[in-house]
Amino acid sequence: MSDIQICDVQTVSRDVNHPHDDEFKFLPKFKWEGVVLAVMESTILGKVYDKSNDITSEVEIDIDIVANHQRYYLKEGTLFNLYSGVEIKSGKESLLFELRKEPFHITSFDDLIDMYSNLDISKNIKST
Amino acid sequence: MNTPNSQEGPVETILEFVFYSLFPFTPKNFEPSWLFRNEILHSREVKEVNIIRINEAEVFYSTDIISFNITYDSMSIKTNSSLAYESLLTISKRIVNVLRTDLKPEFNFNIRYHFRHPLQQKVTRNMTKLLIDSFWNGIIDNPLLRGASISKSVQKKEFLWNSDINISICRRPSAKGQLIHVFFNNFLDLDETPIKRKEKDETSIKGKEKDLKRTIGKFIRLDNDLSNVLNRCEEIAIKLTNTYFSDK
Repeated sequence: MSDIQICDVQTVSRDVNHPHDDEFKFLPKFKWEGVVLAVMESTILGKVYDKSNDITSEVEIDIDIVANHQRYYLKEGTLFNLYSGVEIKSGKESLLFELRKEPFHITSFDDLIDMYSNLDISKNIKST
Repeated sequence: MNTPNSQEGPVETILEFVFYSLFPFTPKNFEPSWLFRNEILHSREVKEVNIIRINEAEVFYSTDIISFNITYDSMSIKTNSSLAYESLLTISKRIVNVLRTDLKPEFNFNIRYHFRHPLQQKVTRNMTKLLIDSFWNGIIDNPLLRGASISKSVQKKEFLWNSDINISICRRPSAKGQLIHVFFNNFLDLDETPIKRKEKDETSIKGKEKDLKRTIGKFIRLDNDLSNVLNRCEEIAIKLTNTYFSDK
């Protein structure tokens, strides 16, 4: 790096928000990225990818791991992340299922217009 | 995301993206339903978010591993694990896309890493390595450095990137001197390119059309630009903590 200036910066931490006690419920320790292949009565068949070891495998996931409010969205092709880790309050080892969304793929002006048409962005910028 | 070796040095504990200058935020507009309206979470998931604080000045809520904090001038998205990095990045890109409706070329996008080191003494000792002793000779004996800041300006092909990089020891008493902050205050100007543009013809329809196309082109490339900035910041943060705060 060029033009380096070093100075004391007491103000650096001025506006830092440190984690609130209730801010996070789960501490992930390991992650698999997955896609749902089939939804059965008490399990989900999924293809999962372990990025750190570059291993793909098919697994059956107990439906109880998926929260009730997430089950509604399960179907073939649903993207998800599966974390193993620790529940912060109890310290218990556990699994966390997270529905995953892809980023917007904007490659043309039409994509941009489509995105703005689909989203109700007017409420983002309403002044009151 | 790579994480420094936990046995020998700092471990990342919090990763935070903070947006400024997109436009003046009205916190109330960003209550959890906003996540659904902008396709960040599904409607039923939104009903389950953990609400920490909602008032006129601040909206603060979280999922199990990602939190959202909106004040009148900033929006912060935070996670307690580098494993959620991809989710955080996807959300950030969506936020930038949906909030930049005015196609303003400049904005601030700050990235904050919080690392925890197992040994407090090593944090203080290694931070002081950044001190230029000769500067304080004859003025103060045995000074200790608590933080340092550098500035860097990079003219990329597509945009100008100014960054203030701050490293400091967290002063919060409960952090016990073990927390290291590595913060990047990034300012991006998508209008500043190294190639001098031809004189703009803003009066003719053709000129206006060209201008709009150029702006949209920049907007479309923004995803890549953001990823580049993030990757570079991450590289610097990891290198910095591994070089000065690890015993490898």
